[in-house]
Amino acid sequence: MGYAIKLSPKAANKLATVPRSLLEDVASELERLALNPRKLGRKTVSPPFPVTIEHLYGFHFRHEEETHYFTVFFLYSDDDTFLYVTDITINPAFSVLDRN
Amino acid sequence: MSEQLLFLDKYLGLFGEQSESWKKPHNEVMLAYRKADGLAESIAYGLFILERITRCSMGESEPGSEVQVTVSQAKRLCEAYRQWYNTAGVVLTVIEASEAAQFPVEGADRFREAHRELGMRMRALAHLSESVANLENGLAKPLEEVLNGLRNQTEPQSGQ
Repeated sequence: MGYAIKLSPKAANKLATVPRSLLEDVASELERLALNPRKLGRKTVSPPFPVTIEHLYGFHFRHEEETHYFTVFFLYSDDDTFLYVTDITINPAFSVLDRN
Repeated sequence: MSEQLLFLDKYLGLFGEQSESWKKPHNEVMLAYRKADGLAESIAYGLFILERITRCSMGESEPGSEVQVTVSQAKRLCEAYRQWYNTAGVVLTVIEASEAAQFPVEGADRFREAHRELGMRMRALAHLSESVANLENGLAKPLEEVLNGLRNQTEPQSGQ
Protein backbone atom coordinates (compact mmCIF):
# COMPACT_ATOMS: atom_id res chain seq x y z
CA MET A 1 0.00 0.00 0.00
CA GLY A 2 1.31 3.41 -0.94
CA TYR A 3 1.61 6.65 0.92
CA ALA A 4 -0.60 9.68 0.59
CA ILE A 5 1.18 12.82 -0.61
CA LYS A 6 0.94 16.30 0.85
CA LEU A 7 2.54 19.35 -0.73
CA SER A 8 4.04 22.35 1.01
CA PRO A 9 2.80 25.73 -0.29
CA LYS A 10 6.15 26.14 -2.03
CA ALA A 11 5.89 22.75 -3.74
CA ALA A 12 2.29 23.49 -4.75
CA ASN A 13 3.39 26.80 -6.28
CA LYS A 14 6.15 25.05 -8.20
CA LEU A 15 3.70 22.47 -9.48
CA ALA A 16 1.54 25.31 -10.78
CA THR A 17 4.39 26.35 -13.10
CA VAL A 18 4.47 22.95 -14.83
CA PRO A 19 3.24 23.13 -18.45
CA ARG A 20 -0.28 21.69 -18.48
CA SER A 21 0.67 19.14 -21.10
CA LEU A 22 3.15 17.68 -18.59
CA LEU A 23 0.98 17.91 -15.50
CA GLU A 24 -0.48 14.42 -15.72
CA ASP A 25 2.95 12.92 -16.35
CA VAL A 26 4.29 14.69 -13.27
CA ALA A 27 1.27 13.54 -11.29
CA SER A 28 1.96 9.97 -12.40
CA GLU A 29 5.57 10.22 -11.23
CA LEU A 30 4.46 11.53 -7.84
CA GLU A 31 2.00 8.66 -7.54
CA ARG A 32 4.74 6.26 -8.53
CA LEU A 33 6.93 7.71 -5.82
CA ALA A 34 4.13 7.31 -3.28
CA LEU A 35 3.98 3.60 -4.04
CA ASN A 36 7.66 2.96 -3.50
CA PRO A 37 9.54 5.86 -1.90
CA ARG A 38 12.21 3.65 -0.37
CA LYS A 39 13.23 2.35 -3.74
CA LEU A 40 12.89 5.56 -5.74
CA GLY A 41 14.01 8.11 -3.16
CA ARG A 42 17.65 8.76 -2.46
CA LYS A 43 19.82 10.90 -0.26
CA THR A 44 22.13 13.30 -2.01
CA VAL A 45 25.55 13.55 -0.51
CA SER A 46 28.09 16.10 -1.56
CA PRO A 47 31.22 15.40 0.48
CA PRO A 48 31.92 16.49 3.08
CA PHE A 49 28.44 17.89 3.57
CA PRO A 50 25.11 16.58 2.32
CA VAL A 51 23.17 18.88 0.04
CA THR A 52 19.84 18.08 1.60
CA ILE A 53 18.20 16.67 4.67
CA GLU A 54 15.23 15.52 2.61
CA HIS A 55 15.01 12.55 0.27
CA LEU A 56 15.10 13.25 -3.44
CA TYR A 57 13.37 11.77 -6.43
CA GLY A 58 14.39 12.92 -9.89
CA PHE A 59 12.76 12.36 -13.28
CA HIS A 60 12.53 14.16 -16.61
CA PHE A 61 10.34 14.54 -19.69
CA ARG A 62 10.78 15.87 -23.20
CA HIS A 63 8.40 18.67 -24.02
CA GLU A 64 8.46 20.92 -27.09
CA GLU A 65 12.02 19.85 -27.86
CA GLU A 66 13.13 20.73 -24.36
CA THR A 67 13.96 18.38 -21.55
CA HIS A 68 12.35 19.29 -18.26
CA TYR A 69 14.14 17.97 -15.21
CA PHE A 70 12.20 17.56 -12.00
CA THR A 71 13.50 16.92 -8.53
CA VAL A 72 11.06 16.20 -5.74
CA PHE A 73 12.23 16.83 -2.18
CA PHE A 74 10.29 14.87 0.39
CA LEU A 75 10.13 13.66 3.98
CA TYR A 76 8.21 10.88 5.64
CA SER A 77 5.43 11.90 8.01
CA ASP A 78 6.05 11.05 11.64
CA ASP A 79 3.23 8.54 11.62
CA ASP A 80 4.50 7.04 8.34
CA THR A 81 1.22 7.57 6.53
CA PHE A 82 2.13 10.23 3.99
CA LEU A 83 5.05 11.77 2.15
CA TYR A 84 5.50 15.47 2.66
CA VAL A 85 6.83 17.12 -0.50
CA THR A 86 8.70 20.19 0.72
CA ASP A 87 9.86 21.41 -2.67
CA ILE A 88 9.94 20.59 -6.37
CA THR A 89 12.60 21.99 -8.64
CA ILE A 90 11.99 22.19 -12.37
CA ASN A 91 14.90 22.82 -14.73
CA PRO A 92 17.69 23.44 -15.36
CA ALA A 93 19.56 20.19 -15.67
CA PHE A 94 21.38 20.72 -12.39
CA SER A 95 18.24 21.73 -10.59
CA VAL A 96 19.38 20.36 -7.24
CA LEU A 97 22.09 22.99 -7.21
CA ASP A 98 19.64 25.75 -7.95
CA ARG A 99 17.09 25.16 -5.26
CA ASN A 100 16.40 28.63 -4.10
CA MET B 1 75.97 43.84 56.04
CA SER B 2 73.12 46.22 56.70
CA GLU B 3 74.37 48.35 53.80
CA GLN B 4 74.52 45.30 51.56
CA LEU B 5 71.02 44.38 52.59
CA LEU B 6 69.93 47.89 51.78
CA PHE B 7 71.41 47.59 48.29
CA LEU B 8 69.92 44.17 47.95
CA ASP B 9 66.51 45.57 48.81
CA LYS B 10 67.03 48.28 46.17
CA TYR B 11 68.07 45.72 43.56
CA LEU B 12 65.13 43.56 44.36
CA GLY B 13 62.85 46.56 44.25
CA LEU B 14 64.22 47.51 40.86
CA PHE B 15 63.91 43.96 39.64
CA GLY B 16 60.40 43.95 40.88
CA GLU B 17 59.62 47.15 39.04
CA GLN B 18 61.10 45.71 35.87
CA SER B 19 59.15 42.54 36.19
CA GLU B 20 56.02 44.58 36.81
CA SER B 21 56.53 46.23 33.45
CA TRP B 22 56.84 42.77 31.86
CA LYS B 23 53.94 41.22 33.72
CA LYS B 24 51.20 42.69 31.58
CA PRO B 25 52.64 41.71 28.20
CA HIS B 26 53.59 38.31 29.60
CA ASN B 27 50.08 37.74 30.90
CA GLU B 28 48.63 38.83 27.58
CA VAL B 29 50.94 36.43 25.77
CA MET B 30 50.00 33.59 28.08
CA LEU B 31 46.32 34.41 27.82
CA ALA B 32 46.49 34.54 24.04
CA TYR B 33 48.45 31.31 23.99
CA ARG B 34 45.94 29.59 26.26
CA LYS B 35 43.08 31.08 24.26
CA ALA B 36 44.56 29.78 21.02
CA ASP B 37 45.04 26.40 22.64
CA GLY B 38 41.47 26.41 23.96
CA LEU B 39 40.19 27.54 20.58
CA ALA B 40 41.87 24.60 18.89
CA GLU B 41 39.91 22.35 21.24
CA SER B 42 36.70 24.23 20.46
CA ILE B 43 37.39 23.87 16.76
CA ALA B 44 38.01 20.13 17.01
CA TYR B 45 34.89 19.73 19.12
CA GLY B 46 32.85 21.93 16.77
CA LEU B 47 33.93 20.00 13.68
CA PHE B 48 33.18 16.75 15.47
CA ILE B 49 29.66 17.96 16.27
CA LEU B 50 29.10 19.16 12.70
CA GLU B 51 30.14 15.77 11.42
CA ARG B 52 27.69 14.10 13.79
CA ILE B 53 24.87 16.36 12.58
CA THR B 54 25.83 15.63 8.99
CA ARG B 55 25.92 11.89 9.60
CA CYS B 56 22.47 12.08 11.17
CA SER B 57 21.08 13.97 8.19
CA MET B 58 22.63 11.41 5.88
CA GLY B 59 20.95 8.71 7.92
CA GLU B 60 24.20 7.11 8.96
CA SER B 61 23.34 7.09 12.64
CA GLU B 62 21.86 3.65 12.27
CA PRO B 63 24.13 1.60 10.03
CA GLY B 64 22.38 -1.06 8.07
CA SER B 65 18.95 0.39 8.61
CA GLU B 66 16.84 1.93 5.88
CA VAL B 67 17.17 5.67 5.86
CA GLN B 68 13.83 7.34 6.34
CA VAL B 69 13.98 10.97 7.43
CA THR B 70 10.76 12.13 9.05
CA VAL B 71 9.35 15.62 9.36
CA SER B 72 10.22 15.96 13.04
CA GLN B 73 13.72 14.63 12.44
CA ALA B 74 14.22 17.17 9.66
CA LYS B 75 13.04 19.90 12.00
CA ARG B 76 15.57 18.87 14.65
CA LEU B 77 18.37 18.66 12.09
CA CYS B 78 17.60 22.12 10.74
CA GLU B 79 17.72 23.48 14.28
CA ALA B 80 20.98 21.63 14.97
CA TYR B 81 22.59 23.11 11.85
CA ARG B 82 21.33 26.60 12.72
CA GLN B 83 22.60 26.32 16.28
CA TRP B 84 25.99 25.08 15.09
CA TYR B 85 26.24 27.87 12.53
CA ASN B 86 25.51 30.57 15.11
CA THR B 87 27.87 29.14 17.71
CA ALA B 88 30.60 28.67 15.11
CA GLY B 89 30.18 32.32 14.17
CA VAL B 90 31.04 33.31 17.72
CA VAL B 91 34.07 31.00 17.77
CA LEU B 92 35.21 32.47 14.45
CA THR B 93 35.14 35.95 15.92
CA VAL B 94 37.51 34.83 18.68
CA ILE B 95 39.69 33.00 16.15
CA GLU B 96 40.03 36.16 14.09
CA ALA B 97 40.94 38.17 17.19
CA SER B 98 43.58 35.59 18.07
CA GLU B 99 44.97 35.60 14.55
CA ALA B 100 45.03 39.40 14.52
CA ALA B 101 47.17 39.17 17.66
CA GLN B 102 49.57 36.94 15.68
CA PHE B 103 48.44 33.75 17.37
CA PRO B 104 47.43 31.29 14.66
CA VAL B 105 44.89 28.71 15.77
CA GLU B 106 45.22 25.09 14.79
CA GLY B 107 42.39 23.97 12.49
CA ALA B 108 41.10 27.51 11.93
CA ASP B 109 41.08 27.26 8.13
CA ARG B 110 39.12 24.04 8.15
CA PHE B 111 36.66 25.46 10.65
CA ARG B 112 36.28 28.65 8.63
CA GLU B 113 35.62 26.62 5.48
CA ALA B 114 33.03 24.43 7.23
CA HIS B 115 31.25 27.56 8.46
CA ARG B 116 31.34 29.10 4.99
CA GLU B 117 30.00 25.96 3.32
CA LEU B 118 27.20 25.62 5.83
CA GLY B 119 26.43 29.30 5.33
CA MET B 120 25.77 28.55 1.67
CA ARG B 121 23.18 25.98 2.74
CA MET B 122 21.45 28.10 5.38
CA ARG B 123 18.94 29.49 2.90
CA ALA B 124 17.86 26.02 1.81
CA LEU B 125 17.68 24.95 5.45
CA ALA B 126 15.55 27.99 6.25
CA HIS B 127 13.20 27.02 3.42
CA LEU B 128 12.96 23.50 4.81
CA SER B 129 12.20 24.84 8.30
CA GLU B 130 9.50 27.00 6.77
CA SER B 131 8.01 24.00 4.95
CA VAL B 132 7.93 22.01 8.19
CA ALA B 133 6.26 24.95 9.95
CA ASN B 134 3.71 25.10 7.14
CA LEU B 135 2.83 21.46 7.71
CA GLU B 136 2.51 22.03 11.45
CA ASN B 137 0.26 25.01 10.79
CA GLY B 138 -2.03 23.01 8.52
CA LEU B 139 -0.94 24.77 5.33
CA ALA B 140 0.08 21.62 3.46
CA LYS B 141 -2.35 20.39 0.81
CA PRO B 142 -3.09 16.89 -0.43
CA LEU B 143 -1.68 16.25 -3.91
CA GLU B 144 -5.10 15.51 -5.39
CA GLU B 145 -6.49 18.81 -4.15
CA VAL B 146 -3.64 20.74 -5.76
CA LEU B 147 -3.89 18.77 -9.01
CA ASN B 148 -7.65 19.25 -9.24
CA GLY B 149 -7.17 22.97 -8.79
CA LEU B 150 -4.56 23.08 -11.52
CA ARG B 151 -6.60 20.97 -13.93
CA ASN B 152 -9.26 23.64 -13.84
CA GLN B 153 -6.81 26.43 -14.55
CA THR B 154 -5.32 27.65 -17.79
CA GLU B 155 -1.72 27.17 -18.87
CA PRO B 156 0.81 28.93 -16.61
CA GLN B 157 2.15 32.15 -18.12
CA SER B 158 5.78 31.23 -17.71
CA GLY B 159 8.01 28.47 -16.43
CA GLN B 160 9.54 28.42 -12.97
